[in-house]
Amino acid sequence: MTTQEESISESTIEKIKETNNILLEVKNLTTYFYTELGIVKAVESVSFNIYKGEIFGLVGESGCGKTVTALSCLSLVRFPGIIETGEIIFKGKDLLKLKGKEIRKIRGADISMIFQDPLSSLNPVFTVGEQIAEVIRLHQGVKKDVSKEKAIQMMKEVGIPLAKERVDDYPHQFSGGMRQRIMIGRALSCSPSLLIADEPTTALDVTIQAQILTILNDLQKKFDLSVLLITHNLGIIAENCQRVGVMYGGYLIEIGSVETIFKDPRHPYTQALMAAIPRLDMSVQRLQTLPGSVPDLIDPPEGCRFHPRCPYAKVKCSEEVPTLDEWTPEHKIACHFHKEINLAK
Amino acid sequence: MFKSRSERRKKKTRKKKYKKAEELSGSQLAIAFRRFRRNRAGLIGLTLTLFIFFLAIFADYIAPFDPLEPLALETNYSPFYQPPGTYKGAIYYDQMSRINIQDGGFETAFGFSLWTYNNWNRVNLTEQGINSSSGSWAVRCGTVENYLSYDISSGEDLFFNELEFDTYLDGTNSTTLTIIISYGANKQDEETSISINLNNTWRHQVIELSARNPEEIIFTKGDGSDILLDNIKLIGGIYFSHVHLMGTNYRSQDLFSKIIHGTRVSLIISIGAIIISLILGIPLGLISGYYRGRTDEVIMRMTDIFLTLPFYFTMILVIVLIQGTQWVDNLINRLGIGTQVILIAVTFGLGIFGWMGITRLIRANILQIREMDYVEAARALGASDRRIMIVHILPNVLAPVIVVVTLALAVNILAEAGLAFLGFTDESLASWGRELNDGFEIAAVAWWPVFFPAILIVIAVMAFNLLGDGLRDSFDPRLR
Repeated sequence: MTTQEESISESTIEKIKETNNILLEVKNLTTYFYTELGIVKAVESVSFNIYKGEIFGLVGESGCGKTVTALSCLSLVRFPGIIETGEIIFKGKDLLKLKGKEIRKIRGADISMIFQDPLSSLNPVFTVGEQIAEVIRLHQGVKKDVSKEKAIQMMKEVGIPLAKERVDDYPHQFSGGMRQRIMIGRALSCSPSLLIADEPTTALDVTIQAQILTILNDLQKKFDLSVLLITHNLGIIAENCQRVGVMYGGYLIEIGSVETIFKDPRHPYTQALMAAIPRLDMSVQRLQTLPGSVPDLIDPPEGCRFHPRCPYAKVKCSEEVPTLDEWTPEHKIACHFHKEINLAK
Repeated sequence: MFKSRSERRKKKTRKKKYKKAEELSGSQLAIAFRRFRRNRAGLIGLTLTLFIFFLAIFADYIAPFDPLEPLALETNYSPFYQPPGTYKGAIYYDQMSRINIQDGGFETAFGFSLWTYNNWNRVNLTEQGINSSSGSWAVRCGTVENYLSYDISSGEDLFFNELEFDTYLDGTNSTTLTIIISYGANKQDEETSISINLNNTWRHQVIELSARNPEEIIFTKGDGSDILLDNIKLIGGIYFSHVHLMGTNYRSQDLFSKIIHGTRVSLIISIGAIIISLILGIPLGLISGYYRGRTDEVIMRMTDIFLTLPFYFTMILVIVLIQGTQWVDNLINRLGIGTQVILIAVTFGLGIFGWMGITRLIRANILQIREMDYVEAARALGASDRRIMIVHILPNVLAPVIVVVTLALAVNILAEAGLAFLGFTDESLASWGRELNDGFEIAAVAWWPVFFPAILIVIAVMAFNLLGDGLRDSFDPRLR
């Protein structure tokens, strides 16, 4: 066989292997918000997969649709947001077609979510132990004392010192990092298969950030979780994720493994992102920036939403929306001219 | 073991460091309670409120008189509009007491009652029947200066039914009533007499009963026991339980007792009204704030409509409607409440006027809280809508509701008093407003029928307002 055929068959075999490992399959997810000012096209035809046991990063600027994508996975999008089309296949079921009771069973037990601000993520009128125990009771139907024991266990897992003494304390008696750990404990108390972490460390300082991510990694290995990590911090992506998707203006514009994306970004936006990272090994006079600002999602640009800022934009870019093109099975780019742009490399 | 000075100082600083942590320990309720303890006005309000509740609960034991029983006795004397300080005499014999005179074939009995009001003593003798087989007899009763005498020939009835003697004793004088009964063939053959000596000293009434021939006279006390009238001395103390601390009102009812029972009426109506408001208002507020959309619009418009209703006229309408409907009567009889319809009507009406504030308050807070991450987190972990509303959102919106409830107590008391003043209350209820109405007419002459109910209303309203203000300050997150 020729090399090409070899690589094709190899990749096919890999694909077959991978298909058995897909935990979450998002296909053509589109979510719009019908507001008074107009229709906000927050998420457009986003498709990606998350495999078992991996940390998948979703990165992009503020307002690019990362959070809405995550919320859509759990059907948490409420009026005026409506999930227009799409399929989200999880363990053989389409989550978007499930009714209230069924999706509630999945939330917390199979897929969990943690949020950005640990201060307001915990209900101030309940003790910490009670909030963790509540989730356990809700999904496992155990008695109060049993759930409290499990809550203490969970608190120990996430590294809260003196868990037994502190289980009856209130959220305001903990620091931000501790609260985020409690949030994580709460989310993982019923051993879900997928954890969606929506900017879990954005509200924390760098050292606590490191602690939280360490815990996330440890727990991920211990419980064999998959994690959908949403952030706008490329450093976190580089440190923790295996694969990453880059979003811009509601579209998923590039997706691939972390090494590939960081070493070989092919979409102009990703390239600009990488170029903008401050570097210590070179002396730089000015940081590289990308002119312009994020598109208005109510009245987005025609065609590729990045084209007004793209240095390589052509006529076609303003007419046709690019779809994800498979450069390799691992690396997909949504750009009409990504091959031409990267020939120079 | 002596502690060194440095050790003691270390302990002090350690205590101070933990004080802040201790201040913030516990739930929000615990924190608010701790803060409330330092709020002086609130504590005063709380004490007064508890005092009023205490009065209401133990009214039966505290009130010296029955509030509804008019003190018009069997006699014609009704102590109405008596000023504060009037006291009922300690020794009080009703008509069940009898003086039986038996001598030979002669037998008669007098009913004997004695009561004292404010140093006025009244002795009342009633003829109980005469059985004379022979002869005639005459009765002479009275004091030295003032006596009545009756001449009865045999076979005829006694002339009098009742004899009354009033004497005023202020502690410096005493008086003796003598009943001389002459009987026999000529009305003079036999004679016996009974002396009743009355003497009031400070805090005591002294009555001495003596007879010339005590073996012939039997005195039956009110409880049915017989004693020979042989120098009986009765001493009664004038106790607090017999003094009208606030005077009496138009119907000869003790004002003090009536006012204490009035706390019961006011509180029951107010609390009942608040409960109705809460039952109506909390769910509506929750649904309106959580679901938004058309439900929210409808509920808010309903709130607006109810807020435009004029208070007194609508209340009148409600009361008339409830009183007039037959099925309400049937319902009450079936429930066995056995209470006045108007009580229920007023409670219900006041409740209808209270729910709007609570709904709006809850809704406003929900609009803020539903955006909080913990609501989203609860939803993301599988909680249903109802669970989120009741378990997660409701405890967070309740703080201002508690404040509103205490203030609503004050408002409801005032409203109920106002309605009672206009006449919308039952006679058997000891309502403050009713007392105001009664006393209002005679205010020019007697100050106490108006003053006491009014001041109680002021104290009650002030107590609840202070308490509500104190609570509001202690729940305020400004200082957190």
